[in-house]
Amino acid sequence: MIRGWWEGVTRRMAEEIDVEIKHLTVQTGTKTVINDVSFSLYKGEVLALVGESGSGKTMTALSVLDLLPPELERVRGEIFFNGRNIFDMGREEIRKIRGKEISMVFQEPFTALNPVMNIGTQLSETLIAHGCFKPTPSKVHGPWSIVPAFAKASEGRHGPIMSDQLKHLLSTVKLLDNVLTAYPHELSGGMRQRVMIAMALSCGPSVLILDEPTTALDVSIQKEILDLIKNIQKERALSVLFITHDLSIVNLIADRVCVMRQGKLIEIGMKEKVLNAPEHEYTKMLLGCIPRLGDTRERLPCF
Amino acid sequence: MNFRILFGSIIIASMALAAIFAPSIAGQDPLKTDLSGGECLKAPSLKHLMGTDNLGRDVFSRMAYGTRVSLSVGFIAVFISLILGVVFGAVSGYFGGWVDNIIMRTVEIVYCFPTLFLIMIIITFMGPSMINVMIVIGLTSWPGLARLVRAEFLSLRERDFVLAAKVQGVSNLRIIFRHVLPNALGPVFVSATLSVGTAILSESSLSFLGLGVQIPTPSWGNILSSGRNYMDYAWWLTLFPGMAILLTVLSFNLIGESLREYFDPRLVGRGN
Repeated sequence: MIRGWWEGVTRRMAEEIDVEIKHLTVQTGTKTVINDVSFSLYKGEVLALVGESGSGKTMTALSVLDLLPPELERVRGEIFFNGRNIFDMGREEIRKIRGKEISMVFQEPFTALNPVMNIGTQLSETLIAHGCFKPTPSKVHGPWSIVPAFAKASEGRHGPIMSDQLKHLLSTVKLLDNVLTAYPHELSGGMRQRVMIAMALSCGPSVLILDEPTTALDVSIQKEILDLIKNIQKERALSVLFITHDLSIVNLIADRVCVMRQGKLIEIGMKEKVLNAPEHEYTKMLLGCIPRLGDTRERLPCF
Repeated sequence: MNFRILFGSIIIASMALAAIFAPSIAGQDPLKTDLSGGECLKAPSLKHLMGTDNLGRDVFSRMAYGTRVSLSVGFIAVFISLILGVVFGAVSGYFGGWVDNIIMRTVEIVYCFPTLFLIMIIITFMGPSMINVMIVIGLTSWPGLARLVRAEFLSLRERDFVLAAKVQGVSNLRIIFRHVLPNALGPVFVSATLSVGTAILSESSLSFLGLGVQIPTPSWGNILSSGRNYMDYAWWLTLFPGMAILLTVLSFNLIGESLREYFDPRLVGRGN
């Protein structure tokens, strides 16, 4: 076991690093939210960030994009992306990285989509922000298309958002074209999460941060979304930082696991090693919390 | 919804048409006085659809020309205050911090002055004219709108879709005006439509005090105020301008409501 783990470490060391977090410490007033966290995300791997609520997983992810809420202050630490410290970058520089190089998908697909914007427009926003939107006006359907003036007017209205580029984006997440003209409230949770993934992938980022992307979904949809993520990750060799508290998902999707608790990094290592032979007590306890069939325990262990 | 938008649009459209085609529908010169006995303070008849005033002028013609003044003052003043209110409110609510502090303190200072007196003071310096009235009403009525927009932005900026847009690299300016503002437009439009009414009323008050549209030029305000002396026996002098103001304000409100539903698709289909 130890040998396997060591091999994993040496193998990883030879590979390229995408995002490197060094001694990140974030505070709000006197409370330390993230305490001296350091880890790296290697090219093409899926790193699962595990921990209970409030352990600083999401804040770590938001720091990578320099989007910490204003009440949180970064006291110390650097985050390197492609060898450059993102905290040294100008506002415009970091904006160009967000969505184009590093994308993020949130936990709640219900609130992460703008309720008054249709899906096509929302998808195009990321592309427009990075100057890679190619609108292709399409033919107009419906009774009004008989009248040339109306056909022309409605072409302007629906044409760009029905562009081939957006249709292609939707097809990568296995959604149909008619979703483009729909509003978020007309879609189911799974569909919205697919839209979020499509949006995150639209500019071809190399790093994808997934913040509990399946937590708000029911189990069967979870499976579909996870398969989708897994496939896309393999296809594009994405580096994925997968935040979750569900160890069964970790087992399914991750290459390496990183355990956090109360803002501290507790354990990091290859999935097999952390899940089968955890070193730290807290990790053991987390694993002990997975409910099993026929389990008769009444209380969950506490740490 | 259909009834409301139909009613509102018909009234506003007919007002707008009356304003545009005032010369052709008026029939008579609104400034022509007729003091030859019998023509003063005549009740509505076929010759004078809304009667005549104390100087024998045709009230219908004066109303038609007055529509021009009232509507343009209402629209332009609200347009000015809408631009100022939305921009300052949005920036203040979205960025917060010292930007918010400066803008909101400015708003409070503007609020400290009684609006009508502030308008009067500025008008006495600038000189009474229709354009000055529009500008001054616009410049003094934005703080309420700015506060409203700011309040909307304060709650909207915490929403996940704003963070999602930031994560996707959308610039702040675009997030403010394209992502957040459409979500805040409902109350803004309702407030703006109310402001059109308020602006028309302010203009009437100023005209009443002689600081607005100058006397021979008709506006609803000065027709109404000149009619108040004869209210006991010449009801048409106050009824028609009063009704015009009432209908206009009501119509703007009805249209505002319908617009709110248009901008917020979640409301469509709720109720009837």
